[in-house]
Amino acid sequence: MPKRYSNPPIIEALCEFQFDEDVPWDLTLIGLIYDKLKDDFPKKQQLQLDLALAAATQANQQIGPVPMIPLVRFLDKDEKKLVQIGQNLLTVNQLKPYESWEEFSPFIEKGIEAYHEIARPKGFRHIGMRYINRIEVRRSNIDLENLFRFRPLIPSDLPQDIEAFLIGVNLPYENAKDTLRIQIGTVNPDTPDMIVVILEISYIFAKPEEIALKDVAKALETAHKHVENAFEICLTDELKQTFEEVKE
Amino acid sequence: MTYSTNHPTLPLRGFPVPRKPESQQILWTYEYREGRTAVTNPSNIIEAAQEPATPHTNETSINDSQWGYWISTDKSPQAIPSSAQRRYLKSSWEIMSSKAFYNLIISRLIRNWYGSGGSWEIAPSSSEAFHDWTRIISAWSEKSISATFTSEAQLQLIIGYYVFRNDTEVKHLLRENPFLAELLLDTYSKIEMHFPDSQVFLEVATDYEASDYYPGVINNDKELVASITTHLSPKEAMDALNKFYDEWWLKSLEKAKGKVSFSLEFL
Repeated sequence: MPKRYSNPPIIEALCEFQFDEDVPWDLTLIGLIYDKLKDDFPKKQQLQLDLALAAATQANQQIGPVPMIPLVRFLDKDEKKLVQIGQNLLTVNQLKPYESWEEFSPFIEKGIEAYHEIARPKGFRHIGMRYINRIEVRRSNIDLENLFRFRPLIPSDLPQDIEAFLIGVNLPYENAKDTLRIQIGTVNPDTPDMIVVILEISYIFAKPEEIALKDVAKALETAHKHVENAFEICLTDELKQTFEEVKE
Repeated sequence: MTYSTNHPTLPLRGFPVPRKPESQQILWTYEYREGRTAVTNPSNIIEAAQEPATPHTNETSINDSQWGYWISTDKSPQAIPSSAQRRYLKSSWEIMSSKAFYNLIISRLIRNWYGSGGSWEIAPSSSEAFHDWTRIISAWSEKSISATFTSEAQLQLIIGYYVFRNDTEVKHLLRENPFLAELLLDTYSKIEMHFPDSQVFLEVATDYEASDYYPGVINNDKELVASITTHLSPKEAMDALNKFYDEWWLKSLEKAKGKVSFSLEFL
């Protein structure tokens, strides 16, 4: 039985799908997909992804934009859930507050169904799931060993006071067909007395082209279980107590 | 420092009140604080200490930000001062006015991706930047699909334009209301158009009369006050503010969801 927390550190969960590029893409498809999703995601927002290139020398820096296909966001009325559509790209994102996988996953399915029905892609080129957690700890209380089971190991003959850190691993899952990626690191805190740690757990399907549309939900279910399990393993009980487990 | 915002009861006599839409009126009242005067009645401008507003833009080092792709601002022994950075941002804005901030996001992303030193001077050379094109695209694609990442990047850009008063509160409010980020970035250029070379401070204030007009908006009674500092005379400043309202802000009110208001501070 998965644990549930009333104050989970998740700031964003997302699923990303990239599709085969064999099928022609045009911008009218975005409107048609919106028609399918507008009941759940009525708000629209366009992100112009003109890719800027920084070309710099010691004396001079120039930036020039390279136009890219825009990424369009459809948001729910609270702007906490969103679907992003780009060229051969679909993401479904849940921002804080994240309730549960059971609540989130139906929206992922709706997104895939709408995209597939309109764009008719032949297959997947990439499927990934990411859970981003933000954990804030008072600097005076920081003892990584008490908080994180997944953490940097500093040889004892080096200074043990860590100012900042970043580590990550890729682990093979499902007979090395997939990859679980765990990254943990500090980011700039808002106040100097705090330490902010970002724990990102991702699951990437190594052979997405072998996953049929009808099997995506099941595959994501598996991915989510691995991500959830990794989350539980990476953090200590002491830290998880602060998330306030909901006993059912 | 005390501060109050434009949640007023009555427009002040003899004072030009910006025009407002029929549906949602924003009336101007007054505010006061240390070191600067405030919009009240022109005949009642408090004489201010003429101490210039001190920018306290929060800058952090890329070296401090160990998260590989997380956007950070720049500060290192070699880093250029914030005024120059602001100039850089402004000039970039002029060059790419349409969606400059996204371009800047990626330029910073590229810089972070490659840059170990974290200063403008040692941003990647053109050959480095272009060398692994696929990697750059891939990095951008991976990070840009995270709404949190883009919001955080936008927050860092906002820090480049605005000066935060009570940094933690402002950042917290912006994180809770990510829809404000794009609006504030767009709005800065409009403010600058009417109040050139002005600093704009952001501060969180409590609106005790706020009603629950916007379901889903967190902490409905908290809002951002953007205080525009100016050397203009009160009349000139109010004319400029009226123009800003007419040409931009009244059209953007809905996007702000009652979370942003403006005031003037006379230097």
